[in-house]
Amino acid sequence: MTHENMQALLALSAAGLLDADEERAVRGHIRECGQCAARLAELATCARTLSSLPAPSPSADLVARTQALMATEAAAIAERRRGAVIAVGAGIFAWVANLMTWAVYQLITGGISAVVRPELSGLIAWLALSTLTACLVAPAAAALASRHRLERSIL
Amino acid sequence: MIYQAALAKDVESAQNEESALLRRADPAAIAEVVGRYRHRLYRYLLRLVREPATADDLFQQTWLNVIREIRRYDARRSFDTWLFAIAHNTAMDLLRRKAGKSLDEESSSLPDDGPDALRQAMNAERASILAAQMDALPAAYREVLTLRFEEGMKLEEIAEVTRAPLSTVKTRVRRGLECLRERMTARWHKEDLL
Repeated sequence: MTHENMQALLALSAAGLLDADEERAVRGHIRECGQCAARLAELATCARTLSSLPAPSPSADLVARTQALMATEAAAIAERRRGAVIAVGAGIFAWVANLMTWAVYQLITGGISAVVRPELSGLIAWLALSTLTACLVAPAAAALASRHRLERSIL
Repeated sequence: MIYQAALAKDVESAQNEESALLRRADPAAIAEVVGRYRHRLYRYLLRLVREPATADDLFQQTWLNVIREIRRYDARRSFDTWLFAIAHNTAMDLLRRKAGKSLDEESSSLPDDGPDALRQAMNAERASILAAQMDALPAAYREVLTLRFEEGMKLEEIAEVTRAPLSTVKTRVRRGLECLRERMTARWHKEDLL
């Protein structure tokens, strides 16, 4: 390696970022090159000083405020997660309940054969209605649950 | 070798512990993790942005992002690297929004431990000059230098935090350290600190 190539490696050597072969090559070069040896010594001093710079600390007030904000955010995330679970659960329940209503209606009006071999257009219409109901019930259930928890926390 | 394997296992279990504490999300668990990382994270942010008020904002925002993202944390990754990557992204968002604004700020320093009073005073003086010169470097250099020398991160970890290729990280470390050397050597020689 040329002297210029070696110079480019000196900073990385001081930073401890060379592989074993490169490090050996640098060590061999600086034994013969006073200029690079001096430069590496200066870089090493910079590196050592950087490692020992005093660490600034955040104020106790900042840490306390951050911890409080995080706790509030964690509670809000948990609340949103609970709301999502309730919404999905209520939606599925509403959908299944609607379909069951249809099945019971078919059973009463047309007997077991109407349930086993349903009229396709009627079934599709009922499925659409069930889905619409589920979509309306889900957010309403989540909102009600959230309001209930809020009231309980106030009381 | 056995010692290294045991050490690696300890580090991994400590990192799993941190993510488990944050996932529990109760105030005591949160306080514990913030307490563990407060000095290191704040130092990194302050070196990056230089303004204490901005570093304060970023410190809060970083931890809020941590609590929002903790479910996505992969326990096989280093928690330190993940945390500093979130801090990096938060800082970059802010710097992008503030683009064009000057972020100059003086930094403080305290005496370093040394074998005797004279050496201690020289180290402190040298560190004080270097801290001031460090502030004058471009943010990309300050960031890799603080991650390498103050956080002791490996090249790969720095690349993960800064989302830069290894070759770019190497170049930044080299140029940053060379810039500091050029600025510092003359000052240290003049003040007989080298």
